[in-house]
Amino acid sequence: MKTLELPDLKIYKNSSRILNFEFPLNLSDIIKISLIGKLNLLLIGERGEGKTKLIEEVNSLYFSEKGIYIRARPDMKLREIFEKFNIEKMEVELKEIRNSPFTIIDEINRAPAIIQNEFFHILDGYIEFENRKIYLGNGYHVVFATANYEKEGIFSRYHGIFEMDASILDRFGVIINTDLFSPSPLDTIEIVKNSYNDENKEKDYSEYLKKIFDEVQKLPLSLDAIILILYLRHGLNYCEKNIYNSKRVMISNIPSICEGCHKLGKGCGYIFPPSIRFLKSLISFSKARIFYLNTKGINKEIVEYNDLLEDFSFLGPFNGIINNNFIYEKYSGDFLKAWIDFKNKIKREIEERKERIKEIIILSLKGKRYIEIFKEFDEEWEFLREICESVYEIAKKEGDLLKIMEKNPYKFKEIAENYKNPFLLFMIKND
Amino acid sequence: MIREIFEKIDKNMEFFGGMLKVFEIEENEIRAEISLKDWKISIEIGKNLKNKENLIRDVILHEVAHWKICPKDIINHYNLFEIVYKYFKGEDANYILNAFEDLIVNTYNKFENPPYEGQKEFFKIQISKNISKFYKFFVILNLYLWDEKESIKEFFKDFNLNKKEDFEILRDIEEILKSWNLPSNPHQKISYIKNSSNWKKLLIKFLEKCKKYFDFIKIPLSGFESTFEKESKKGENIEKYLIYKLKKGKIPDFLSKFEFLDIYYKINAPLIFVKMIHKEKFEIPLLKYGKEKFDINENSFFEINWKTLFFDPFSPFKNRINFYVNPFNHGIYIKHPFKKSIPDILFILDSSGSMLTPNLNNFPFGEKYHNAILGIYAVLSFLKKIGVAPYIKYSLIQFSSKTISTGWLNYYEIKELKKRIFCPEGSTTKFDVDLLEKTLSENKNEKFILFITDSEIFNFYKIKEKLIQLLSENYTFFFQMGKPGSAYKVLKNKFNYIKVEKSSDLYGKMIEASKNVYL
Repeated sequence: MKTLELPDLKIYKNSSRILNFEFPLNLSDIIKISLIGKLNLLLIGERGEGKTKLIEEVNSLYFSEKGIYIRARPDMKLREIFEKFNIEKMEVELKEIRNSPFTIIDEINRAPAIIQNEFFHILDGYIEFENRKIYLGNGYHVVFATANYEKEGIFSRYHGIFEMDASILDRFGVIINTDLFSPSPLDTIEIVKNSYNDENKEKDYSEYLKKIFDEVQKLPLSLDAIILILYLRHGLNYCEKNIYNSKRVMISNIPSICEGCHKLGKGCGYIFPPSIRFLKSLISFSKARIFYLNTKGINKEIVEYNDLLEDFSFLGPFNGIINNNFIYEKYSGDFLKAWIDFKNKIKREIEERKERIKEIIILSLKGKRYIEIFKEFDEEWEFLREICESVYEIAKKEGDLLKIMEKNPYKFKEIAENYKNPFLLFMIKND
Repeated sequence: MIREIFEKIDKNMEFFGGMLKVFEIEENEIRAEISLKDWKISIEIGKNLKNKENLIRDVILHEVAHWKICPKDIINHYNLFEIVYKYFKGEDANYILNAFEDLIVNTYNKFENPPYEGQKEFFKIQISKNISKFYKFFVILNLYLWDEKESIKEFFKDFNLNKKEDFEILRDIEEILKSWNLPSNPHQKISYIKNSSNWKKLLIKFLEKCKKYFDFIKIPLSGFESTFEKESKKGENIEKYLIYKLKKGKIPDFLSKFEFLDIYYKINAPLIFVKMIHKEKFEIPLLKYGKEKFDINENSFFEINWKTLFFDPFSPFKNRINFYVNPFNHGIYIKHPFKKSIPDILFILDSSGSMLTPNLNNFPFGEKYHNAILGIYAVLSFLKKIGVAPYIKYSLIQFSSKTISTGWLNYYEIKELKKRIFCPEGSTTKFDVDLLEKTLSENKNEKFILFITDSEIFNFYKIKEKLIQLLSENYTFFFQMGKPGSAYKVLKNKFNYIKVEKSSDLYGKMIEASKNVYL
């Protein structure tokens, strides 16, 4: 059984289950998963619910208060961000800046959009100053941020709150609506009773987290899981309305351009393909969660497609993958319900074809190709053809790749590297 | 309960994008429709029917199957509509087509979503209200397709084969089924009828037989007016269908030549960006100092100066924050003749042979004339876009060996102008300047004239003085396609004379001219 030396949160208690797939996970667990997956985390919710306190506790508990704290304000100036990082005195304090493994951005959506854009770099782990990239942390850096709910119109409770750009949201690997997972009455007693003092200051785990992160990344993905990732990226992007067969090229016209299209009834026009960045975060989260479950006695060696799908429905809701208006109209704004239906829809799609897809991949690896089977994979599944064609072409020259993989994995690796075939390389890495 | 039923069907039929709206009504009725645009199902249901689970379930199933099975989308619907149109016209064609689509949908549901007893209940409700020969024929054909012919008496108590009418119904239905030759195995039957490539064959036989039963009483088939019927009447859907058909190089039979050309040019007229203003030639810019707040109706987002934001209770942005834009550079007009009203518009269009040849890919007009029509449609659409279209008058003078004027038409009579455009003469190039004088004298308003021609007018030297005088009194743009003749040197200094090198540039120049006049 793997072990994880990260202590539990001491002040902010919240035993509500956030994820309940294979093992119940609460907010404290999700925070640890985000840390070992090196994922930026955003907490959204009503004010006064302890979001900031929670992040401050993370700073002291896991980073010995080495984190940099930025409080966003409507009148915030770009310069202030640089000052936070002591950029002007950088030459002398460079080491300190580089070593800061944790950044807190409090109330991120209180800053106007133009300032929020400056957080892009920080979320990507660096800052840009005088055309220089200054990397944050020493190989390990995460951002934890808080945001208040946007409530539109004149009845808005919080004035001076700005909309958050989709690209900012996309850079948060984990987004949690804390209002959906409020602490229980017993937790509340604990939270009220506990208060912060210097005793809570623990050691800096950033070096340890870096090592764990490297270990987490080694966890392989199953073939089904790879297929799911490809489907989310390419299958969900398919659109028959333009010559590129891509929703991405006309994203601003969707769903109005979909009027009358049969596929709109399947939900096609209300769903956008996730970004590559999101998918990377998803894979990282799933690997980190599986690693974490290993430390809880659940023995799993590989990330299955079910893991990814569950995590997808947990991480997806704030990433604009499902059209908000659609959720408001069909589900009366109930994001969770919409996402359960969406997840089940994807599950059906994959389950229906899973075995056939494996069959076609295996045939291609063996150097065989059946046009009739290929024809089954059209429209949303057409992306598979390209992959199988590329594998087939290699197998035709090199012989049965499946046999080679079983009998001589080194030769298989060599072939994959020679041909620089991403699918074969992915297989080596993950299986 | 209705929601739960819908959710279940939603999952089973993979109708994730579908939505349901329920309205309660006083009448003892249930009506349902599915929107072809966004696949929203609307149900109107009488209070005392709210607990009829079977009925509600099957009504929803029926509507969802219109999405899932037949017609699936507007393209399929119109493909079938073209066939129906050869046998029935107008509303009747829509009704009959809907009946055919219902047959497919009901048969599918009977076997795929049994017991489908609610549909029977629906038939009974409709029969209790009224009965027509066609509806009887339709219900019995449904029962035959469901392999439930023995239950005919459940619906029509007085059904008797000794009666000529009833006997004929059965005979015709059996003939239809014989020619359809559907597989007896339910699964095979379903896969056959849901295959859209078989619908044409099925429909033709159905149409041949149902003609004699069709009376003028249209009992609602699956609801009140089927959405497919409603949607098919909407211009925008016809346009979508036309785009599809035109890609395939076909003109649907159910449109007249005028309807087809009118829609074709509406679709293909170039898009107009009203905010593009080029007034350099016509005004001296006056720079206004200071800054103006962003107005979503006036400015584009590219004009925003993002550096400063301020509180603005009328801001189009959230949280009442707004930004400044640089002020618009107003100008003093130096050539604009209008002082008061919005000018009326006159198109003078050369329809001589050279404008019409050579033919453009099986199209009735040559490239120059085609581009001139595109230009006129684009200008009409521009006038609509800037909101002046209903307030001005329109006229067209078409000239070849004869000169014809439409007279001055109001906005609701533009069809006459368009009809005239689509009937070019294609002969020599002569111009009747007296007719121009008469047309101009009939309207005292200021006028914007677009003169479009590609060659020299044979009688130009005879009419020169008068033509120049008449055109000079108005705001005229002279569009010269092709090589200009020597006579046009005279015109060059008199009007906004625009040389059009390539005929495909014509519409762009016509729009620019219109912008200069109206904006």
